Amino acid sequence: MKRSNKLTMGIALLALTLVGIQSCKKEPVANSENEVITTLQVVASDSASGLPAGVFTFKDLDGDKPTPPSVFDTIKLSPNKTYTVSLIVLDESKNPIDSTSVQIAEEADDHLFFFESTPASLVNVSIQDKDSKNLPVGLLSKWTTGPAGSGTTKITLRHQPGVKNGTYNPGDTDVEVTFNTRIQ
Amino acid sequence: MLKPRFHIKQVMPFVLLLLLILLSIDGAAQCNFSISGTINEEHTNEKLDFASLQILELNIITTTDSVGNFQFKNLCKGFYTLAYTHPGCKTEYQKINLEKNETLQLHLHHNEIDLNEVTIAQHKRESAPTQQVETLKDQTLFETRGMNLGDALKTLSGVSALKTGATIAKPVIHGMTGNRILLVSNGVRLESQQWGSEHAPEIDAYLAKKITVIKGASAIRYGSDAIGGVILIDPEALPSKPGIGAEFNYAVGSVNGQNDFSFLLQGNAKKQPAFSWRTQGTYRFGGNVHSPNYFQKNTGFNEGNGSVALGWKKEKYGFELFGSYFNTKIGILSAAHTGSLADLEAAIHASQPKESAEFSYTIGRPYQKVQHILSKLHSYLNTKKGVFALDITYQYNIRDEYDKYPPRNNTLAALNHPALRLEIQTITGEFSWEKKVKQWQNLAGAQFFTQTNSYKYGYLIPAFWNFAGGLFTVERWSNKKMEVELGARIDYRWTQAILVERGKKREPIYQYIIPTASLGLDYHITEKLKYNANIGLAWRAPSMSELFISGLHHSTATVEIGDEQLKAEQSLSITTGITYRNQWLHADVSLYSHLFKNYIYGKPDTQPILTIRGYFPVLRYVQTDAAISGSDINLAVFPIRQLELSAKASLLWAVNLKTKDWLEQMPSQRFNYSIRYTINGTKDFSNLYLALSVVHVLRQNLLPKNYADYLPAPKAYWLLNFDCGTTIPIKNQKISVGFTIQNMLNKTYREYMNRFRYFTDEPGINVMARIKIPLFFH
Repeated sequence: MKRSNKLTMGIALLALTLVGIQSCKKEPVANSENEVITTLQVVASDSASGLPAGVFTFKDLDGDKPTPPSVFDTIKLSPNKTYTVSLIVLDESKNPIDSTSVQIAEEADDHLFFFESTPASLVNVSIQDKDSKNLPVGLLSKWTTGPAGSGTTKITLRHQPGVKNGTYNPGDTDVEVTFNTRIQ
Repeated sequence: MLKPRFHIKQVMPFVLLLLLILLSIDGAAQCNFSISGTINEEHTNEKLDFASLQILELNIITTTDSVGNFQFKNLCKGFYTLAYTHPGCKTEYQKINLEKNETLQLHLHHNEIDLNEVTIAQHKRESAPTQQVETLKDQTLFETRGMNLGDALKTLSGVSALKTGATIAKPVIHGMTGNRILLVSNGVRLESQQWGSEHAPEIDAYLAKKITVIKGASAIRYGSDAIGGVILIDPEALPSKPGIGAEFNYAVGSVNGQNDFSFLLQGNAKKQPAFSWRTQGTYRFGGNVHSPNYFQKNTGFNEGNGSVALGWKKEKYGFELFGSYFNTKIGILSAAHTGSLADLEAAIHASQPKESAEFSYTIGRPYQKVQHILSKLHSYLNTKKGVFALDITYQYNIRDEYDKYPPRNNTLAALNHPALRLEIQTITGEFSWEKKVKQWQNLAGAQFFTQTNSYKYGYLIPAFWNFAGGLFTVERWSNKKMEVELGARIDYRWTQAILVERGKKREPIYQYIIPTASLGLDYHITEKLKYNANIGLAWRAPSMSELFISGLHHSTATVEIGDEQLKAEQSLSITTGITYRNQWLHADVSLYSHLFKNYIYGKPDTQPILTIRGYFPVLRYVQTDAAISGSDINLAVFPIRQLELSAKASLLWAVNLKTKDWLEQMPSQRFNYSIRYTINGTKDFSNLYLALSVVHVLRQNLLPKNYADYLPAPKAYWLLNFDCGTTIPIKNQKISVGFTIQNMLNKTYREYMNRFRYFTDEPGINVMARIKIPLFFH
């Protein structure tokens, strides 16, 4: 065979070998370790008696993806009462379930919850816990209900690393859930 | 009924220039001189036929006939530079002071190639003569140094950029970008996550000696995805003259404190003339970009690239081995990543980005980090039966996206993992055969392509395998008057996605067998007037993101949802144009129409989606039939030799044929006017030029009815730019310097094709300077 033909054949063989190597199927690496907030739980207990009054949950297991939330409770409380409320934030997409509220408590200087009641007379929320700079946090609050009625309660978690000053504006929203609320 | 809405005021300057041109076409006296002669081979003294000659100042080209004779007629008195070359030769130049008819005896020297062999392997990716082509090279390329690739190409008509902030720019040809255009770097089609509108091309612009934009369907030669066109980034051929050459480039820009350093070192061994090599490297960095009223926080970048090429070139065969590494870290404007729709709306309606900043080079979260390895082995065999070539390439792209906040969990945060990592590896091969027989240039080839994509840390698009193969042929027939080109190709593509849904695995397969064809004509009506037309088919498979994307896109606060049933897009491109060149006038006018079946785009949905951060609007990928038509116009008038008045227009109308309405996300009509004065050679400097130009961009009014956008399209704007520069000969080397002021009036404006137009103004005034120092050692 002429030398130049041998050369061509050699190169073609190399090419085929490379194709062969590529066709060995590789398993895609598919692990999602990203933190996702999937669940917000509003745990209420009667301030006077200390007895549990209800747990109201918003759960959306796929985070930012299109599947709608699997659990979306309506907050039901009695009129003219005061409740002690604690918020639990979870990442239930991980095994074991990750407690985001523990991390929020550890980084209280970077987080702030806001509560908005519509109409304003429905529920009055007063934040009880404070961070190291004496600014409110919101994992613990006191809710005072008005007369019977219905409306919504919007709970927003603001993530404000290094910029928290007690107001809404700095930082970004990590949780914003508007619960239907019935006082009856 | 669609009506393109122009206000006559906006096009008035353009119309005035057109009138000026029509008046000046009426020639001038004293223009009946000629330059004629013959070109011979330096060693054998043989006459060279089909050698090409070009008068640079007039941009007119001719070729020698079968006995090596050429002639340029009807020339005016003046100073001209004649460039002449023949395949296998280095271009030579001859300066002429034309005062009477001139007859020249020119010589060319062939490198190591025996003239008795049938044909020489010309660089395969040469520009297609029957299509609309624009080039940046030599001086025009030097004037873009310091700009990223997308911004550098914006100066060409028909080309614009899709930007994500000031530092990320994707080239757009005739309104098409991403997977609809191909970037070919040193002969290798760039394969990365090009479907992403926030993914800038991973190419070192300093690698290029010439950048060519081929507009319109180019699928026959380059394969699927070349619907809108192809951008070729070509380095110079490896040196064949013995000795060592070097080139240093340095550029600065004031708007973001940018510094570019690039060097190139290349050589050819005197003892072994077949062997040559090149090494090249670039380091560039920039800080926060300044808009007229504020600094954009976290918009710095940092890029380091390098490449090595080794070549062995003998008359009968040769190899080239090339490898390059590209590495960039790009800061993403902090204000552009929002958590909820309410946050987005607050950001949009703020008069300036919420987070204020000073100037800084520090790049914090969020940012992108991309690495790209590109390598190729090119080999050829020159035989009496034609030139055979085999190319094998390998690419590896790793893209890391870091979110605005690290994980709350401190152990996890300490690992500093990105929120998403995409890795894609591609191997391609091409075997081709090329042979010139009399007036026919034959080219045929086979291409194969294999690709694997995986992800880590987070999920956006699935892992997949891709295999594709294609067979193509291009036949070109030419004589002195015209060139006709016919191309045909068939492609087979197999893709398998790997989806993991709630613990269950699903592996859908997509297969395509699609033929394409093209027909082109390039006709010289007269020596000064040329006509070309091209009609071509092209296609592309839907990208993984269009099929499977499912999730929140932070910077648009929109949940994007793909459609697994999408079919391949198919297009028919028709482009036609005329080129006219004489002493006073250079005109290029082209018309194009790209007709699509199954055009894929994101359509806003009526139903929002509820997540733990509230409601988000939804965008779904759908298909329609579409037509993108327009015109690219380049005009230049030379009232006196040193003065150039030019105007460019890029006009585009994109229609959704099914809804009979406009198609959104397309560039608006834009114009570029400039005055340039050149002072030719004195002893101390040559080609000193001063130029003032105005870029005028109209408001994008061609949007569908009831189109819901967070902000209406920005107002029309115009910008004033200043350029000057010169070449300074020092000993035997020519040092080029340039100075530019972009947005000289420091205007505040926003551009519709910038995805961050909701959050920030475009950059303010930018004072740039650049220098190029070539060196040669024997």
